[in-house]
Amino acid sequence: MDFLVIQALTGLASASSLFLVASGLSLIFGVTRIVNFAHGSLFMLGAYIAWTLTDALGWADHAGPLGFWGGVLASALMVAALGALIEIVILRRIYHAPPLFPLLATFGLALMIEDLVRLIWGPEDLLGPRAPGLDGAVTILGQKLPSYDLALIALGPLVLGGLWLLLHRTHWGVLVRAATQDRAMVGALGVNQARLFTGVFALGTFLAALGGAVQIPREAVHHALDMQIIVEAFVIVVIGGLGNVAGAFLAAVLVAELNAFGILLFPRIGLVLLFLVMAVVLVLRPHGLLGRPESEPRAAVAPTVDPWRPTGPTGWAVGLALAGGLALLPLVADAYVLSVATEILIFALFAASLHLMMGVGGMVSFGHAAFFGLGAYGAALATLGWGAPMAVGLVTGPLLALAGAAVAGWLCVRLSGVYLAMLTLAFAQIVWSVVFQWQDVTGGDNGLLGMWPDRWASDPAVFFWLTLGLCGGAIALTRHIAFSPMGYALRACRDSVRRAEAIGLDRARAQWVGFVLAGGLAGLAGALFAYLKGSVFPDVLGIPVSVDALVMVLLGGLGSLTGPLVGAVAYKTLAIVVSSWTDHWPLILGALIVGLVIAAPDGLTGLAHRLAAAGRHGRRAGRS
Amino acid sequence: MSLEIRALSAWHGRARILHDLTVSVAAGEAVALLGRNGAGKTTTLSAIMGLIPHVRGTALFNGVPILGLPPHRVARLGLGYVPEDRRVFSDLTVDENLAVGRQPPRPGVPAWTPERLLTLFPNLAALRRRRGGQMSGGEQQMLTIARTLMGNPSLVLLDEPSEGLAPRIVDQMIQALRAMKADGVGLLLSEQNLIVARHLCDRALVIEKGHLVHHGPLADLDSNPAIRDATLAP
Ligand SMILES: Nc1ncnc2c1ncn2[C@@H]1O[C@H](COP(=O)(O)OP(=O)(O)O)[C@@H](O)[C@H]1O
Ligand SMILES: [Mg+2]
Repeated sequence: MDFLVIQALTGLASASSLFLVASGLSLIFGVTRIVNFAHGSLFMLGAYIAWTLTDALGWADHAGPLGFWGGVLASALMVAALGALIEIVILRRIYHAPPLFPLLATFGLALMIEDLVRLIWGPEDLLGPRAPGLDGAVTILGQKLPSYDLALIALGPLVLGGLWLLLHRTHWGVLVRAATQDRAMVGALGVNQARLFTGVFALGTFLAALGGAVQIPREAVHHALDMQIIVEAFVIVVIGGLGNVAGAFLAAVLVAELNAFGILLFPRIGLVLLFLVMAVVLVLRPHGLLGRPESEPRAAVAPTVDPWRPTGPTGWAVGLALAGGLALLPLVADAYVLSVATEILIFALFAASLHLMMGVGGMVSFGHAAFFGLGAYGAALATLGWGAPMAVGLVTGPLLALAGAAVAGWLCVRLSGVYLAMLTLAFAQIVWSVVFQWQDVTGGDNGLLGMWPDRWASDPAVFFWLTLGLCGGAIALTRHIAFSPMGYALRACRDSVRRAEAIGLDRARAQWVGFVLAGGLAGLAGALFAYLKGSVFPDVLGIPVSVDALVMVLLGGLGSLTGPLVGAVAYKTLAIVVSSWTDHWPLILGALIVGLVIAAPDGLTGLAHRLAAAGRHGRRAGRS
Repeated sequence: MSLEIRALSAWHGRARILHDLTVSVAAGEAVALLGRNGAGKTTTLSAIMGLIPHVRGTALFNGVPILGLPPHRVARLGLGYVPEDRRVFSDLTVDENLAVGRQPPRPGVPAWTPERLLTLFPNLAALRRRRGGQMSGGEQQMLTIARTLMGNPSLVLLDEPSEGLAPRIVDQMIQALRAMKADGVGLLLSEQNLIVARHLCDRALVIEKGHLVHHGPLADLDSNPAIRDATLAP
């Protein structure tokens, strides 16, 4: 019993730091509509800089409590200034880009910051100083609790109160709340949105960095903190209700206590519990605990300005010529190049399947790896478990993914926008945990090894042709779907749910079917991937794979059916080429992504269109 | 001359919605912008406010070119905007909604305070702590006009303020708009019919499919039923 009280208090102490991060993320999302992937990186930076100030520079030793807290605050302020700079230099240029596109920029930033942190502070874990004056413990019910934890428990409500006063009792706060509801209207009333956004971004960043800085006496600082915290922060923001600070507080307490007790009750599935709770909350309350439906629901994906046209004779000719050209590749390429090319083809299909869900269906997924991974495991289990030939595995894989997508889709189509995206992430994490824990069947962390293609396809050239045929066919199918009645229904729901339902479309059903098809196609990609690599590990279900898919689709351009293919080829090639040059490929890749986002907010295909249009214009001008 | 627009064209995506409109509103004048649903009234007003990215033409407000300026700069020059779907901030109270619209006083323009506005819109006076989302459509319409006036505009663009309101509420609103006009605030009022315009406006512009098809004194429309019936809702 006493132990449980202490456990609860420890949970509350963690909740404070989580709340700081999540409230910052929530404020930023509420006003700017940016899903800030770099938020965890700014948290991490706050922790590192605070460590340098208080520990490496010895402020905590020389100046006692003042030095420690001064260092914590100075670190948060420095990172907040960096946040403002990021907003002014990068994000401000892309607010008019399609929604979600800024996500790509923040992802690039996250890559860069992680690599820079490793460059500056090295790869080792850093142990933080103890907080002077709070390094003892208090005894509660016969159990010891660090005094610092008590201080943190007080900090959470304190910050919540401060934020409440700021948002409700100051003119700036009223503007922030107004902009959270309708930022265009705030602008039309004479408020400089750019300034408001910079302020909010700086405040949100300050909170993230403060959350990181206050953690250093409790937890070692390391460079994987960013991804760890961003996932938890997203979960909290979504459970609490996007843009709602009080909701973030409630959810932070809930999540921290779940972490504290989940480990005791279900040591093996603590993480699953977290995502299960989120899934339940979202199904019961689609806008989070304290969130409100948006007064004017916005499409998560901007309607395409240029209408899509079915592939005409020229399109087919180009597509077939491309496939034919690719089919000649084995004549000139060696085994390594062939395996890289095969992988790129697989990821092109993976991206195309995500585009079917996002670009055609308007359903943003942060967890598309779930279906890729289910496809891989479905194939591996058939091959290794039953000794079935590859042809069977290439069916069971996609079937397992279809089944998974049928379940996930059934839940997901009840939601929309970022909430839907988070539920897909939750689903992927749950599948990941199940695979990770269910060692007897999946091999857990050790994975499943030795599933090579059947002998007839073991030659890299044959496997390449097989992949080319299957992926090419599947990609053609996604195009076909986009122009089928079902594709029109999906696109109608994407552009305006209200109008689509008004003309009698069954939105939930259309979106569910689209979701399931997209999942099945991702499963085919996953099954091929498993045979290509000869093994499957839980990584294929991980967040990085989902993020890769998202980056490929956004990079290529959501507004075009060719986009995902271009994005997949560009991103995969870049990743492979840059990582063969240098260890610091995340830094370079991140910088390239950020640069690209600024130069081409409509993706690579959009850039190509604009260049082509400028070329035509130039020629016309030259002639006259 | 307060607002002077020449050859205004605007695009939504690739679709050209407005074709070389010419609009002018003198200081303190009330002009009606008439046309059926889909004629391009909302597009015209939002293009003037800087809310539409793809526009062409010139627009001078008190001599300052405003086309291409961001909306907040246009608003700060004294051009107020009341959008068609009202867009009150539903989580904010009446007082907070008014606070969002607040701008410094402007020389030569009436300076509004919440107290003065509440005498103009008496039914808001009892609701100052009510959230925008908990108000009736009529109350929301009054609030959105009051909110825009908090910016002390010299000209207000009003987009179909009577849409969906009960006749009694429309009458109240007309009273308020008249008082506002009497204070010297100009009006560019978009409507599908003549009901509100008759009480406030002297001149009318009629647009159809983005083209200006008629302009002149409001009375012309009554003496010219062919144009009136072809271009306006009954
Ligand atoms: N966001 C938009 N995207 C594409 N077309 C639009 C958009 N908004 C309006 N339109 C089109 O522009 C035309 C004029 O619309 P609008 O200015 O709203 O007319 P009104 O306000 O007179 O009813 C209509 O044909 C409408 O379909
Ligand atoms: Mg309109």
